Amino acid sequence: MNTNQFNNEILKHADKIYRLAKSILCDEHAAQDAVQDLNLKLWEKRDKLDGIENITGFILRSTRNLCLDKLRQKHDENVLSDDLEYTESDPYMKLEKKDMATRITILINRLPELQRTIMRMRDVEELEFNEIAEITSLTENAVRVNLSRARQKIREQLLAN
Amino acid sequence: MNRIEKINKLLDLYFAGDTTTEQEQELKKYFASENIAAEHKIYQQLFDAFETEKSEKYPDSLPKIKPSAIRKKIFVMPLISTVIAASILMLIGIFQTERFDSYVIINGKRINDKELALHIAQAKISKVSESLKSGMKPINSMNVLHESMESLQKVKNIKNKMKNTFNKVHIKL
Repeated sequence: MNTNQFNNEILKHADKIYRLAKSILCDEHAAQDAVQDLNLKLWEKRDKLDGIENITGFILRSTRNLCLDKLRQKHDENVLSDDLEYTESDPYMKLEKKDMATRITILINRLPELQRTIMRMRDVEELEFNEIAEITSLTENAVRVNLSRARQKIREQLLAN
Repeated sequence: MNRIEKINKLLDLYFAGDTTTEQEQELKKYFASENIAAEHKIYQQLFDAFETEKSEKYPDSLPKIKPSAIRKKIFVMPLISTVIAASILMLIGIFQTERFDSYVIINGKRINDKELALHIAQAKISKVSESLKSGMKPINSMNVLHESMESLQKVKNIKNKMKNTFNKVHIKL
């Protein structure tokens, strides 16, 4: 893959990579770093990218793996707790949490990593079940089960409030 | 089956994770419309949030790699960016030379590719620039507070002057 192909076919996924990384890491700055790290890794392997059939799926799977490695690394350093919760670095954003969309984002971020990742891949990125299964290395049935659990939890919380 | 019943059925399928892509599109279309039944309003925020998240962009400007433009860009780069870039490069411990090969070490990785090194440096510069901008917010707020406090200081000065005047004319406050 040459420079132009890399620019056109890889860098165009930056928004998707960022949203997925932010969903997994629950930290916007860490997500930005993840985008940079992934682009660096992909650039280094650019000669091998031509042979990949589903480049979007490959990139999203690589993103998830990279983010899970970062989470494990941070967890080992006792920086993050198991019940990871989203925090905004900008204090002005606290005021905006009253906003309904932000409230839903917070509810989704409280789901376990796999459930929130699957829910966002389906509902935000609008991926097919077979694509999500490929990215998460699960069966399609397992994807549906996790998706159902995630949506049910959100429904319960919506009805409770 | 009327529309409300149909949406109820779709919602049940949706929350059970059993909707098809087409059915989910139908739900999204319904919740993006202005004719949402009162009993469905509670779910509108959920579908709105998906749209909001979908519109979120990667905040850093990820510059495209332009081999032919690299030299030109270095000359036109503003002074402050050059200083910041140099600082970043020094901080991350870099630009070691080994015979005639130049390379950069970023996050513990050796990178020989000049294009990629410049690409990463530009992205870091953008990030530092953003951080500087947001870092100035509290300082600006402090300036506003300081200006507001000046009028209070004036009141204090007037009070002291009055006290001195009263003392001179033997009046106790």
